[in-house]
Amino acid sequence: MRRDLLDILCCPVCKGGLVLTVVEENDEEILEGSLLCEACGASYPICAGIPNLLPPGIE
Amino acid sequence: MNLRHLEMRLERLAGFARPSARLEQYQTPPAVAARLLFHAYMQGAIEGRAVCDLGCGTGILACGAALLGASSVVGIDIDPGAVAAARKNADAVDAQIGFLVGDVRDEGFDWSSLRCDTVVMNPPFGAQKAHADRPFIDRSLQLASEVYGIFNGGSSPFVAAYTEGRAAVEEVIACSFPMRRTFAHHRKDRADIAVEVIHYRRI
Repeated sequence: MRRDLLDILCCPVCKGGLVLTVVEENDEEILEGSLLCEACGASYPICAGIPNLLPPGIE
Repeated sequence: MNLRHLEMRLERLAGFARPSARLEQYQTPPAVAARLLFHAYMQGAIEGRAVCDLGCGTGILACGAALLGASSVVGIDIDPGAVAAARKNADAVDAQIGFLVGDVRDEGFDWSSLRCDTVVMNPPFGAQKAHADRPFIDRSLQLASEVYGIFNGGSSPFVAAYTEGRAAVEEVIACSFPMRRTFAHHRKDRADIAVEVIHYRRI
């Protein structure tokens, strides 16, 4: 996930702002990490460079 | 890049490793994807435009839009496995695409953040789940004023009726492609599937 994608994302549950935590990144993008909603506390994983914004608990 | 050249590039992309019948996952045929994209490109809807691929699957439309010079491309799909494959495909053609795992039906999501010029999509036809294509049509019109989608052959009257008052069907291009046996419920080794590329514009 490139950092500029974060500008257009918000929490799918409550539309709150997302705080990025980076576990692993390279020159271009974030590979592993998470997006945490400041408002409702929901957490969305970033795995292999792809943010997963499905609401928690839905498969 | 001409149509044939685009098709050849798209033919090299990988399809679904384990397609899901429930999600109506099948590899968008490169010939149909190239046809849709090149047509949109000739109409000025791709080059220099912000493009979104709704239900991107393994990302063939998103990759093609990037190859044709879209200014930005976002691909979104509900299936994490498909999006992972799409990302590999984008890397293989050196395309800069933002991929997301998300649900087009999700009303809570801030879709206005994904507004763009053109939506390209190959939504589920609703063969397994009736009306599965409707949320895609609704969402596409929320995101963009120009939409190019691949639908079942003969869908254009439905699409015209369903979008009445919201969009005008500009063009319908009939195509067919051979589908190889993908799911257990498929009885033939290969069947010719008639599809339509439908271009509609928000009014």
